[in-house]
Amino acid sequence: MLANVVAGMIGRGTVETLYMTLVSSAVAYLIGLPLGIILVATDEEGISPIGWLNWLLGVIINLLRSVPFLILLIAVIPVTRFVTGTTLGSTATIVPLVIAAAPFIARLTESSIKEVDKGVIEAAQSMGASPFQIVWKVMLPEARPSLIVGSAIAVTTILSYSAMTGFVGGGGLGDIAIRYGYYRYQTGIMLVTVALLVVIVQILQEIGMRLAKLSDKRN
Amino acid sequence: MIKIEGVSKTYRTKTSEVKALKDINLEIAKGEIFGVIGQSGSGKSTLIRCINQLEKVDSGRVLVGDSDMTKLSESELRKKRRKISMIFQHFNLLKNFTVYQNVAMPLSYSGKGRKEVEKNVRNLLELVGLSDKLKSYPSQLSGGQKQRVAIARALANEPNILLSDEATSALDPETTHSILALLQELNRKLNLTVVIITHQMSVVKDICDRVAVFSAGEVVEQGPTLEVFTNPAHPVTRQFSDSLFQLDRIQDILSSAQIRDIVASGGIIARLLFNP
Repeated sequence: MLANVVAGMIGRGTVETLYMTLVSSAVAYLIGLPLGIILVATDEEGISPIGWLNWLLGVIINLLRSVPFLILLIAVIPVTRFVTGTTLGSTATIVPLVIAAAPFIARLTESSIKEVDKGVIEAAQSMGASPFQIVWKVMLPEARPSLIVGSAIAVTTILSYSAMTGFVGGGGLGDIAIRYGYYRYQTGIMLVTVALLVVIVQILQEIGMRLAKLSDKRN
Repeated sequence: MIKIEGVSKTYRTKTSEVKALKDINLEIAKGEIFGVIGQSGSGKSTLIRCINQLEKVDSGRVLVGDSDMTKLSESELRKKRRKISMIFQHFNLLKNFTVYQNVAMPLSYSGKGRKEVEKNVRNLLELVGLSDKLKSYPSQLSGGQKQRVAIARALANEPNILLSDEATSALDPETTHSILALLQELNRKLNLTVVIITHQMSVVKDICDRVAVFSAGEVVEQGPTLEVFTNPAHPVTRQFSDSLFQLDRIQDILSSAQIRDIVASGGIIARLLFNP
């Protein structure tokens, strides 16, 4: 009976963790990917250099990235309440997760795209491609394998951040680990949740690596 | 066709200045194969990049047809670039794209329909002799084949001008020969104006109608290829023509003690055989 209750709780926790991670990742990519592209494009040596915009974005991203996640989590509580109407549960944690992950994803995207051979971009320019076409038809497809590897890193990072949100009333496996393992000294439950987190990270990472390999035709 | 008038370009860093182009004047006629030869670092690559404005000039005019490339707006420039194609030393193919997708790439920029694209790509690949490689990726091709794909891609928008930036420098002599033969064929078949940048004397000798010799950001000599190299006036030109005929070896033999003795004793060299 008790075992069933615990199993049900851990099952729900797993689903919540996946929900937080995947939804936050998706939303963070919607913000971070364009930001990363803009960072590369507006760079001094980019395809349409805009100095001030590049500088401003760089500063904002660095600021957000330098705040420790636990502090950010608490600092953005008003924003979370404004967006979701609550500060508790898994949906509420999506807000701080997105705020923390988007700048991280922007930097990952930036570094992936910067790996693209400059000669290929020059070739596209010589054919009369517009900056938009260069981004869409050259940079993104050529950076695809690296972008996928980056997304595996991003998603697993978001997953581990999501576990931390348990401290401020977020849901998921992290919340269970903190409540039972940390506050109630129920080491068994904590170990199970941690093991589950490890397995989820392994699976997500493996999926990412396989997809990257499939899409890589460079050699 | 192409007129370069008083073009200068200086690269500045915080600590130094490099004058890449010093008051260059060149005229390239429609339908000719024009070579620009020079050692690496002489500024010849900068020059060819000025023609399609991948490199902006500090002063001077670059006329292609009637328009001054240096004065075009971004969108006018893009339109113009579609008629001025370029091939590169390292091919610059998209590595995650198939041969077909690579050749179709410039067509997609100018918004052609799918049927038309497919027909054009097939024709182009046939022209460069790679009809069987449609679905291959660049990593599965040899250097010569990659350059052929790049040439097919360069021809996709039916350009009037083809710029070749050291296109054969990464290839072995035999492949170089076949790529040059292809360029020559295209020049004749399509009345394509070809501008070739190279440091290889054999390239100029094989296919260039006229040539400009480049040294330290300046054109030191120009004219019909044969004239320039059979009667070199500038030391750099002489170096290049010597590299072709290995005249230094002949000089060595003529100044050897044995020959000197013969000449000193009143003898005449009736025939000098030289086997490089």
